[in-house]
Amino acid sequence: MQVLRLPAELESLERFREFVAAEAAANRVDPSLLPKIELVIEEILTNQIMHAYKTRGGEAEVTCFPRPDGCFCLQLTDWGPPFDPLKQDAPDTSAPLEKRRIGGLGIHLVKNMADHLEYHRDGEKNVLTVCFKKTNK
Amino acid sequence: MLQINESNESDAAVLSIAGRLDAVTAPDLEQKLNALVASGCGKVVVDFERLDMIVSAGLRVFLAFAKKCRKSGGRIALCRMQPVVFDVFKISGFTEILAIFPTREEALQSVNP
Repeated sequence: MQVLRLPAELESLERFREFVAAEAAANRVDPSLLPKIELVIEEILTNQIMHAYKTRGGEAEVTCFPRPDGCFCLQLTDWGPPFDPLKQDAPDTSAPLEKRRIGGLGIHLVKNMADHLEYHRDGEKNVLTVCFKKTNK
Repeated sequence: MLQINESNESDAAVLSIAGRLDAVTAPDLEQKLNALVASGCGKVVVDFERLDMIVSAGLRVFLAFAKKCRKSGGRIALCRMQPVVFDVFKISGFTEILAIFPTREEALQSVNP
């Protein structure tokens, strides 16, 4: 299990992305899945930066680990106020242009890209676990 | 990293974007598109051939541009997306509200009806 904790700011995104890419490779995840995995970490980290730490700075932590069933999993933690991104309203993806809003699209994408998603509040922490099957099949 | 190359073709502004369109780089493209809005929107083609990845922050830029330019009669067409990028547009329902084409020629034709 590998862990990286950095300040929750946009400048950290690239290091988190490189960390997860290296871990995915070490866990023999099909490289074609990497863009999906990168999108997921980026959407969730951006959410943490914009929402969990809107008024004050803080840290984000990413943990990578294989699950016994063969999935590759990420755990994303922040120390912001309780916030379950999975409970937010789904965006209307069929509204006409003028009624379209961007809010919620990031999580909508995450839900579509991940094979398993779970949120829990652990003391002072928001913990989101995301798992991917290692192949496209 | 995002590279943006701007050229003019058949009376349209063509933006070729390469790299990643994420929360860090989206403001760069937004700035370019805002400059086009300021000069009256006109005809815009965005060539995605060398774009490897897009996230919701990138989608937001296109949504904002399309909304701003709808009233002034501006036209925008997107083209040559890699499958992984196209999926993001599709899952978001953006394929219904933006004109997306396989080739640059078709995109240019659509802004020059």
